[in-house]
Amino acid sequence: MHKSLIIILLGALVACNTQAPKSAEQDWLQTPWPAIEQAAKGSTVHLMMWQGDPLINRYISGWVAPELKKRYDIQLDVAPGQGTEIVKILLAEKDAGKQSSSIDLCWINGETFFQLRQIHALFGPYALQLPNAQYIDFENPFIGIDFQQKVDGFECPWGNVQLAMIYDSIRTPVPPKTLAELEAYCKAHPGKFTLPYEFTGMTLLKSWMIALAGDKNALDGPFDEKKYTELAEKLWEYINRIKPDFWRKGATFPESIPSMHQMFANGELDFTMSNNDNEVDNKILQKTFPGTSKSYVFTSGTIQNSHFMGIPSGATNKAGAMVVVNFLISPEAQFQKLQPDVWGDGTVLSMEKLPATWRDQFDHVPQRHNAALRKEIQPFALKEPAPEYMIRLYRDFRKNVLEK
Amino acid sequence: MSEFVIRKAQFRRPKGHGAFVFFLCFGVIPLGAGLVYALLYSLGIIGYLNTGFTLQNWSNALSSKTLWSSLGLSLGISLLVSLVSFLGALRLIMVFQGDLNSRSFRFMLHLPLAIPPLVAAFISFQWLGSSGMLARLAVKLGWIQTSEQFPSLVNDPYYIGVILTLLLLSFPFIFLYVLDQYKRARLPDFSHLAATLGANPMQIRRKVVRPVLIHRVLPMMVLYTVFLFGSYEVPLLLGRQSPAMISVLISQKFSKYNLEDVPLAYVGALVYAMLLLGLIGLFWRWHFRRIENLDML
Repeated sequence: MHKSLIIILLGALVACNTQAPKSAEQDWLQTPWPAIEQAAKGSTVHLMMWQGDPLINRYISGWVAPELKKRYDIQLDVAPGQGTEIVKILLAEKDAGKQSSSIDLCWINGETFFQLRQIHALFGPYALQLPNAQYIDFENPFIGIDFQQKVDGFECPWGNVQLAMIYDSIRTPVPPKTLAELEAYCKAHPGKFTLPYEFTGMTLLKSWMIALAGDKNALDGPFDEKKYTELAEKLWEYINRIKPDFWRKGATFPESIPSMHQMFANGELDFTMSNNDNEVDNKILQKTFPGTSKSYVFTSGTIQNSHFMGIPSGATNKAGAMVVVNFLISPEAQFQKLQPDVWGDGTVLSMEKLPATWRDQFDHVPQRHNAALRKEIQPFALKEPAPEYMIRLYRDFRKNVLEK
Repeated sequence: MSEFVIRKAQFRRPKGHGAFVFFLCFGVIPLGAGLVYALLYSLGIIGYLNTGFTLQNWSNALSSKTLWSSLGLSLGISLLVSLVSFLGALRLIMVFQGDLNSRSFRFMLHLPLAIPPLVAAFISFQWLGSSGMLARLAVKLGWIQTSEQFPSLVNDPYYIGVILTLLLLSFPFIFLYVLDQYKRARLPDFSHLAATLGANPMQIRRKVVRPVLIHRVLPMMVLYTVFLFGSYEVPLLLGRQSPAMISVLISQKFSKYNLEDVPLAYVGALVYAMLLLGLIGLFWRWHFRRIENLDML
């Protein structure tokens, strides 16, 4: 018995210590683009992305993947996963001392970018090396800066969105557009408003903090403890004041946007919200929302941000991932993605930098149906504050609102 | 020939050591390694973001009201669900003794066992929500004017939705187990015997059925309570954020935006594991002593 136990344990130890021999990895940042394309040919790219929207899934698997196969002979293998899941996987790989990652490419946004930079899990700077990056204006603060951190080529912008409120124009002919109006609305319609205790909800709270500061640039720059404490105090005071008129009297908050969408659709709530200002059109198209649903933003502003494509530092197919990203930011792929009936995701391409023929096509993209027009909400766009604001808000919301 | 048969039988007999090694390799070692890893991570000794040994994570977690209220809530809910399931099963067995063997009844009991917790949580959500089927039915019947007037049973402050759903999932299992023990202990025969000796139904329940059944099902009930203590899907969907049941709280610490919360999640997981292991250890000690005392009698 003891012999067999020892053999099993030794076997397990040997198995744990066995690592594949490390081959010298090519420096893809110094490789000419044609060589990268050649290396990517015939390979598989493992993309991890949020797959919670059928339209987005259809765009990726029904259009992007076949185009990649046809043009570059790249197989796109999509796995579900977002934000913290990606961070957990890459952190676990780092903790285990793994040199290679199971992910080649991931769809990320600000807070994930911040976390991945914290653990040095991103490959780069690669974005400027992509041929189609010439059409992106990295000087645009909504594109080149992510949560007050310079992107520095460690992630490539893919889409641009702004937080929007969604309402039913029949049920709510005049939606509240300021914090004072929202307070009055909640008093008049108790139980019909809430916000989710997750990313989108915290993004709304950041907008409200800026509104309470009275200056749209109030949270620019690195995290400022004094500023945060002062504004957060005002924010908790405001929320706790109107909380008794929130859904479930503010004793609990929805955990996710889909559950808010569901409650909005069945009339339990008068409002839902989305980080994608065009989502109302998508959801009407999917028959999730009534056709009278519309979107708008608060006049004090809402956060506008970009979402990005990141390549893990341990990605085994960096060349393939770079080719995929380059295709995703091509005018053709961005134009396709912008169509309201496809996805309606804002483009990251600068109209000034695009060739005239493409600029003309982008100018004539079909109008949004019920979503507020970009040019109407752009003046109310607020920049993402530093990631620490989100982390603190999430923690302090529990302490100052949930547990009160 | 007979020697050959004996040797063959010996060869075929499963060795006790084999089972020990198997359980050690696939049960104890991975679990122990996981706990050691969590301990080292929580002490800052390992982990990509950790910078060295610290007791800060333990100090922060143990002084947090959130952790203790989550543990208390989980313990309360799991005890309540176990107790109600057991008492309900006992009552049902006593009242409907004759009908319990019917096929359709057994089928009905097995049906909820085939439903995964997540699906059960979704079903409860559809039924018990303010705009759920019960609320709509109440509006249709004119009991309430609007669906919002329906009492909130999902994400509610008293965890009613969670408790009802866990009961739906637990009761059939507990019932089948108690019924099985009821038959194995030949309690119908003993009850009949007690009746012929002049005991009334109340005396039979109190003096014969209940003590024997409690003695037989207690170890399993303790383990089932431990299982309920770690419920995840149901409280995740139907519970509230504060206080959250312990598995949900740990998961939140693991998966939200602050990577500095990861060691705290490990502390929470360790406290949870140690608490349960301690409780189980104490219970078994008490149980074996009780058995020894009974044997001595």
